[in-house]
Amino acid sequence: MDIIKRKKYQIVNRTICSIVFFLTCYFVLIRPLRVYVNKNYIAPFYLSFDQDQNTSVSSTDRRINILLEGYSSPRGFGIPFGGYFWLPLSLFIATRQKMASKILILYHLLLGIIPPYLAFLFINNINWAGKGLKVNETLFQGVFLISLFISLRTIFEIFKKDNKYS
Amino acid sequence: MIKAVLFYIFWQILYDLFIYTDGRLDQFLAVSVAFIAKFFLSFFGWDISVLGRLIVIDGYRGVEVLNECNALTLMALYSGFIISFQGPNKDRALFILGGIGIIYILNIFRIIAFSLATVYFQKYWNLFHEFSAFIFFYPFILTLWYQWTLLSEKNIKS
Repeated sequence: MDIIKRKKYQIVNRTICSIVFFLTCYFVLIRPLRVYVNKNYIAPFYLSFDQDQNTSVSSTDRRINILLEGYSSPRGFGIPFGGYFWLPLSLFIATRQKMASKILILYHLLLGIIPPYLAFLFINNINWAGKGLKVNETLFQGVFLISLFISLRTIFEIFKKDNKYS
Repeated sequence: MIKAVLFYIFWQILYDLFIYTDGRLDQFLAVSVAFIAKFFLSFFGWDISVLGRLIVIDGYRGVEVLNECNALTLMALYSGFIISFQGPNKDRALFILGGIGIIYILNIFRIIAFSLATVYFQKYWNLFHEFSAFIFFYPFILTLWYQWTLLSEKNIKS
């Protein structure tokens, strides 16, 4: 009876454990590290461009915003490997989806290179880079939602399968 | 997924070149949501005023529906997935239109919740704002996507 019950909720338990583990790591270790890296290395670099009259650069704990003359809203980028990375990754790991995990990691590694470079170009008045930053924002949310969808669907399918045979 | 990513890139370029510069769609979504939210809050007895995109419960901080808060991007993200995933076209149109309509309604509830948050938990307003999509939009979007993939798979099998 106990074995059946354990099997029935195995995926649920694995998912909860994975989420709790990764979110604890995130809030204790990774989030402060992201803030530290942004405050000490990334923000000072971009803020040094703020002396230019046409450019206004601001930073929050985990984000850089750039407002150029002629633009009504700022463009910018977030520091990668945030909650939008760790939540789907924890679900992928719970469901042992190695390929999806690798793709997600690769995507966030690219987020550490491409958007900062686009921001650098944008500060130097290269207009298409601003469009690139906007595309990045939309894609970022899209990739997060699709990752969440793929992982949750897999969890649901496994749960249904486990319940069917037990 | 690649199709969806391409759709999102295409959408953002389209938005930047035409929709954003035109401004009418963003304006309509923001102003109408603020107006309807005001209507509901007034109905339940709140003293509330609206000035374009700004909605204020008397005596408390105002809530402004910016372009980023009008849910247009989420409507595009939602539709992009439905368009990219194969399935019967009639149902696809129904899912897209119905989904966009529900996202619009959910955004009205979200703006109502933001206004009430200025009264009841102003201190946590920013946190609530940051995670509001997880409460109001994401569960709904993921559920409809799931229904769409089931429908699509059923269609392929038959």
